[in-house]
Amino acid sequence: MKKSLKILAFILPLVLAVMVPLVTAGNGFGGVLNAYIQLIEDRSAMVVDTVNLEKNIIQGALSGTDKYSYFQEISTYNSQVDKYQDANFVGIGVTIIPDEKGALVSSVFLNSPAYRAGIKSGDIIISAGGMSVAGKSLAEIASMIKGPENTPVEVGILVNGMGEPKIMTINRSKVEIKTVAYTIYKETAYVRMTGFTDKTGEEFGDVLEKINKAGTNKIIIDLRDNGGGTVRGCIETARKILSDKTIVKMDFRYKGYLDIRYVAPENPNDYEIVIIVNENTASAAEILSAAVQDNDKGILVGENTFGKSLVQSSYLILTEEAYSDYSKATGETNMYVVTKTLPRVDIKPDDDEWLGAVKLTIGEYMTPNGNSINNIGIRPDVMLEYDGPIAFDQILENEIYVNDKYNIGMISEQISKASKILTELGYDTGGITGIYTEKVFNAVMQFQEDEGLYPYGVLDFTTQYALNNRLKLIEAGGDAQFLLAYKELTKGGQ
Amino acid sequence: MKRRLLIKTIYLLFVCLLVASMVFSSSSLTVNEDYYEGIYSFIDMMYRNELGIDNIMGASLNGVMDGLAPYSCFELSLKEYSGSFSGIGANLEKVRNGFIIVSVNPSSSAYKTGLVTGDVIYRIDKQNASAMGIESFMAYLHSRESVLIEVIDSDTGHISALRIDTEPYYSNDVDYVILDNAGYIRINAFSEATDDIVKGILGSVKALGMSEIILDLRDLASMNIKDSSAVAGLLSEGGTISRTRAGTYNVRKQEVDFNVSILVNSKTAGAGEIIASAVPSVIYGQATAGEAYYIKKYPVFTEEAYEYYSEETRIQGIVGILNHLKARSTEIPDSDISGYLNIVESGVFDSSGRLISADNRITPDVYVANTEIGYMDYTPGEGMIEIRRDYSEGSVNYDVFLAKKILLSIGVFNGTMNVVFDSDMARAVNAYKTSVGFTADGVLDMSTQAMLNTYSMKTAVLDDDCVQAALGDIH
Repeated sequence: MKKSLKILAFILPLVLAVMVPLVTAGNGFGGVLNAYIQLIEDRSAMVVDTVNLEKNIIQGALSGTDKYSYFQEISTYNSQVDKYQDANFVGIGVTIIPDEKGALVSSVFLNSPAYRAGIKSGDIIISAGGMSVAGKSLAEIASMIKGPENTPVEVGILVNGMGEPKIMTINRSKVEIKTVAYTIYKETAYVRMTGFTDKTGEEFGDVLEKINKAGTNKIIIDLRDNGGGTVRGCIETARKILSDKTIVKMDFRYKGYLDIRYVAPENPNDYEIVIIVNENTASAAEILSAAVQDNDKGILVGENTFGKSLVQSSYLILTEEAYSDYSKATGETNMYVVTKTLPRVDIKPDDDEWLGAVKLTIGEYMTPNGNSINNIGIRPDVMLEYDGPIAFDQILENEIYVNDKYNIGMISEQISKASKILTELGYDTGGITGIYTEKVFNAVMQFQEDEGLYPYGVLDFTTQYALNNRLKLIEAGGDAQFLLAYKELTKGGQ
Repeated sequence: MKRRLLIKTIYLLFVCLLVASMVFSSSSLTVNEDYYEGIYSFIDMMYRNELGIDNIMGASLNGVMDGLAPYSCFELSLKEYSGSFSGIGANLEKVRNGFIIVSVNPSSSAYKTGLVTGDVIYRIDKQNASAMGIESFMAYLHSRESVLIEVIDSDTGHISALRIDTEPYYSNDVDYVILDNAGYIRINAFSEATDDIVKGILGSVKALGMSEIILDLRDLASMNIKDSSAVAGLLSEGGTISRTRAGTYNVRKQEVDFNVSILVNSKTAGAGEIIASAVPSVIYGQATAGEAYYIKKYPVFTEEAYEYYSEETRIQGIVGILNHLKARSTEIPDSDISGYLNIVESGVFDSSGRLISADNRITPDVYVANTEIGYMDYTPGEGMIEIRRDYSEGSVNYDVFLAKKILLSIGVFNGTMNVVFDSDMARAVNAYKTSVGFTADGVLDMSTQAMLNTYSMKTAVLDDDCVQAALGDIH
């Protein structure tokens, strides 16, 4: 017995030595990863989540990076492409926030199917296609509402989040995301930019054409609360106002990406520009602001900007399984791409073969004068802090949509907007109801008389334009930063 | 002979089966190595700052542990900043998404900014704190005058961004003050030296002829099981203090000369719960958190080092390699390690053998509604006097102002509150010095300042509902 134990003691290491190399851990960083995954699996008091392991590992790998770098689900990646590159998507045209009752509508895009159906922000969508959306994630709700163009979707709505649900059938259609709008204020153009998509340059060009036709070259560009977007949209916008100047310099770490200096070619148009910025003006909006400031093309008015000059890009990543299959089939190992087709092998994987994307900070931009503004921001030429509503957004919300004439007995949302403006101006309309009462009639007539218009009490086009002009003065008068920008823009000229 | 051969064969077969079953059943979880290596290299190549693939791999272990107890985490061992010595006045421990506040020092920046035990600092100056090591985090603080931290609130889960000034860092693992008939001890943090510090304090309490101890464990969420067990051992009557996967912490039977009152609240976790369970005491306050983990730290090898050690030792698996190196007393050089992996290997069983958990909270003998710690701003002094030098008439210093405040509350000063040592102040100092038996020489010397500080802290400690409840029972 003793001897056999001795023999055993002799043989056991031999057996182990033979057996153990059979489970060789691999080499390289993947090998180290496996060794530590096994350590965690063996020693942890709790069980490792194997279902989400791939995503978790990649998310973890990014945990040593900055806040702008992270793992994106494929649905997030897709909606980012919709929003910034195509600047449109098929849907009903709402943005939503998950809520305990369903999906709270946070904004409705102008002229979208939802807008036409009368859905307003503050409404809650409780069902889509007959299924409850309560407790679902944002991506799940979005996929229940979205679908092919020109197909109907039935949605249950709680108006203002209360009362009995209303069932509506809405046709899905392409919703375009607009980022540029303008109005003429006195003798200047007031341009509002809310973000930058790849289509922003085009939109800005269209607006400039209309401004040229209106016969002014003085422009106030309002970049407050503009958090940026695509660099491309910003460069194209800058090229339309600068002439023969540097717009921005990009400094990438990856040697395969050349550091780029974006320039504006010669440009026959010559504009006088004042840009309004605030502490939420960031990223691409800061590129545009710095390009104008550094090139002495105009001045900045408002608050020190946010200070984000880091540039990100998203790269799709295949699932581990799809990667194995494709790399075996093609011999290609470079499976990280920006577009949805694998390079060189011309394969277009399905959505479920993508694990998601990594969004990475890949570089930083420098202003034309060579400044890095990250975490510093841009200091405006004229500083003024202001907390209230932005004039343009107020005008857009309150102005009358001039489309029809109104007279006693008629009911319209435009009548209530007109009543609101008249009330603000001090005329008695007997409340803001949307009904063309005798009081509204009298108020309109009085307004017409005061404005030197023909005083006959009918809310005609001319009167509506006159009211809208008065509205601009009211809203602008409440926006200290706008007034300052206007003063700065017009002080040299007249 | 034949029989022996048979036995041998059976043994061999048995061994083979055993080994085979060991080999094939364990460590089934593996991933595609090329796939992740490719992703790591890609991130390393594209990301704006140099990260290093070893560090990216280490950080990705944070993801493997997603969903496990938050103390299971990877921390980088990089020390990349240097500067003057300062901190924010909070004791921190590493968790997966950043650093959890284990306790907050009185009058500190952290306290003034509103940070509380259980809050998690998850970003610092817009950089994720999740993969950072605690040493590089502290070193970073030391190199800055102020930092922008993003904090996850322990109660609501809301995130807020706070600008916080760093300040000269003083590490008080244990605060104490002698009250009229009891010694008050508050533990802020644990280290190997904590039991010695507490032992020293117990000795001086005993030397004063006192036998009452108030041990304050409120707002203390440390997971340092070993060092807290050692502290508990000082006041335990013997037997088991705590038990984890690593083993049982026992102390010999001993006489304890103290009557102990322990203060706990809902933020008392881990270390605090071990002490509260092991020390015979009357417990005041509110039910504890019911959360304790045994965390083991493993070095994470760089890729180069891992390949070297696995070839050298012919062993696969981290535990095997580490045991092999330990058996041969081989030191692992810092350059072979990219960071550390903290793994929660088990829960903790308390002195009565119950697993500390949400179902096994420690409930107080005497419930107290308000468990706020009284001396957090050292009122009325609002910060103790920084004892640096003597002051006398004509001196101008902020410490003079602090001393005036304390003398005002004692009732011997009633002049102008400013930073000037005037004649009113000289009179007050003399009156105070006489009352405590010092010579009335008009000098605010350092020992008088220390007395004033003690008075200030004593007043603050007494302005505390839990302390009052405990003292009420002692009388």
